[in-house]
Amino acid sequence: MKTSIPVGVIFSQTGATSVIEKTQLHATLLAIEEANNLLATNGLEIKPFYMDPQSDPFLFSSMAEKLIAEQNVTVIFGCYTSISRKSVLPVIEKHNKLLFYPTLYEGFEFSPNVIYTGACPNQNIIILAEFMFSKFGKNCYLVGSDYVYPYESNRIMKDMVNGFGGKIMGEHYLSLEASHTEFRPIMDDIAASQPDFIFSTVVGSSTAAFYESYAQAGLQPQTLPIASLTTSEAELASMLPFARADHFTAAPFFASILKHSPIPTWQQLVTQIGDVPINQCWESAYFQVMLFTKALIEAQDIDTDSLLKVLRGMEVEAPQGRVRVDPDNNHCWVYSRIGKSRADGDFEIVKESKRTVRPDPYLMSYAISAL
Amino acid sequence: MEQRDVVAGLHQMQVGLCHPIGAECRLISQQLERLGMTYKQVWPPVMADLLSVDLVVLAMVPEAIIKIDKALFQTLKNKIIVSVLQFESPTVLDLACKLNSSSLLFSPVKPFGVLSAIVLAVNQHKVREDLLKRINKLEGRVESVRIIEQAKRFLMDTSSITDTEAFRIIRNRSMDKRCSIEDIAHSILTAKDALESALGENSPINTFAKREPKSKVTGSVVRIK
Repeated sequence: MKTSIPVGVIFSQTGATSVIEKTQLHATLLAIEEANNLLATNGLEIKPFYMDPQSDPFLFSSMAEKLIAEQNVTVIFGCYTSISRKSVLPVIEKHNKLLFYPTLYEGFEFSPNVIYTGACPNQNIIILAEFMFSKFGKNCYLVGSDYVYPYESNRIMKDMVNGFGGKIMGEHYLSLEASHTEFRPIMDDIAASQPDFIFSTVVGSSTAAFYESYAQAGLQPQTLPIASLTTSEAELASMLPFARADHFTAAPFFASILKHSPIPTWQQLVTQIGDVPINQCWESAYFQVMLFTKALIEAQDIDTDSLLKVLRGMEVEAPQGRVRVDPDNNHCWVYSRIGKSRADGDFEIVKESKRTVRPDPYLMSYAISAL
Repeated sequence: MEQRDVVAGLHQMQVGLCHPIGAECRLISQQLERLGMTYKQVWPPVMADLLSVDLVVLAMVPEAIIKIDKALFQTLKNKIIVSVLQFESPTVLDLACKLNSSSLLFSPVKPFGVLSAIVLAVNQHKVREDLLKRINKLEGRVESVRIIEQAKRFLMDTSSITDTEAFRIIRNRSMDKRCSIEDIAHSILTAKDALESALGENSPINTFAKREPKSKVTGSVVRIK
């Protein structure tokens, strides 16, 4: 007789950010399946209750409320945009439940009820800016989606560009659903102003339109590439092949790590995954279930406080390498890597940190001179 | 002003509740009603709806606040602002500061804390207004001291009198004419300018200044005016 552990899973299958959330859902369910093999010996079984919020931030919170009330879940895996996280946060805190958030975000948050498994700015923007400055130059053009994450990311990029004596050649924000028509005039302006690189915080389904418009405008990635924190394998898969190659993304994980891994577990995982475009958010979603499973075994309990006690400082062997939950800020120590995109939809890793980088969500130790 | 007065004065205030419609907006509006305050809900912020309000409870939704035009931004800056924060990130905090927010509420807002935030904001705003008034007054005073100083210097240079004597002349004149010392100083300087432009090189400043210091020629100097 197994004890069933109900958990909530909230990722969108439709809407503007479903491209990436579908892969997070895939990773979560796959990892739960594998965890259950492991937990069987402990007489435990994780039972996922999945809900589809359709990329609507308000549905996220009502669904979290519902999962807690009706399915009695202690833990929720979910959320992509910051707005969706912010809408779930009060629900989680009110009921003292736990949210595992598998997405890079802008930082400046700490909730004792959240484990943050994506990168925060000090783990991706800094290495990306340094790389782009040294390879292409310091004059930067900013294009992003119209919400808080792009604003904050651009703020840091602007700081760095100015600190290094570069120039911001333009700054535009478009809706998450922006189409080719809206990107076209921006491409003309980029062609005219000739920056050294474009920093894109375009998120969701508009990413494909952005990269395709870039290629259609005849801009050359060899001299004026796009640098991004969010364009992953999932976004590359969603765009036409001619638009994919030779751009840069900073992330803790790229699918190529898993695909070329000598470790049998990962080789086996790759065959199981099939053609799902695995990416940094997929990986965070995957290893956060590993964290939860390990916590469950160690704590021998399902209440939030017992789980949190063992989660803080916990380490697991994730696909990206060994990661650790920071005991002070609940964010993870992850790798900083830069990938160069290829036409086949993968990234070639061109730079990486030797060790995992400490998460610094409030950018307290961030200083340009530290680079 | 004592805190009791701030609370008592709240009923007379018009509140603009700039918040997207939803559960939190409802919660704040209900609490405003309990506090006996009249409000109108408006989202996104529109000039026409906000001109007549005294206090604005403003949701710091960055993508909406960033799009506020200059005129409305200026209008808002002069209101008493209570910002409602959902994000504690630099862009949002920067916007809250640029709008001169006098206090903050944090999302999810609870009924407890709304009154405190409003009272604090009203008080902070009043303190700032009082300080601004005082600064304006002091700036005026500094300017008047500067004018009197210049007029005195002119009298001293042209008539070889002492600082005290020059001041006495200006003061006596102001008492005779029943106007302020500053006004007299001002007319002396106007006269000085007129003389200088009329006489050019032969200006009395130039000629008088070259003379040996003489004593007590006060009468003639005052006649300049």
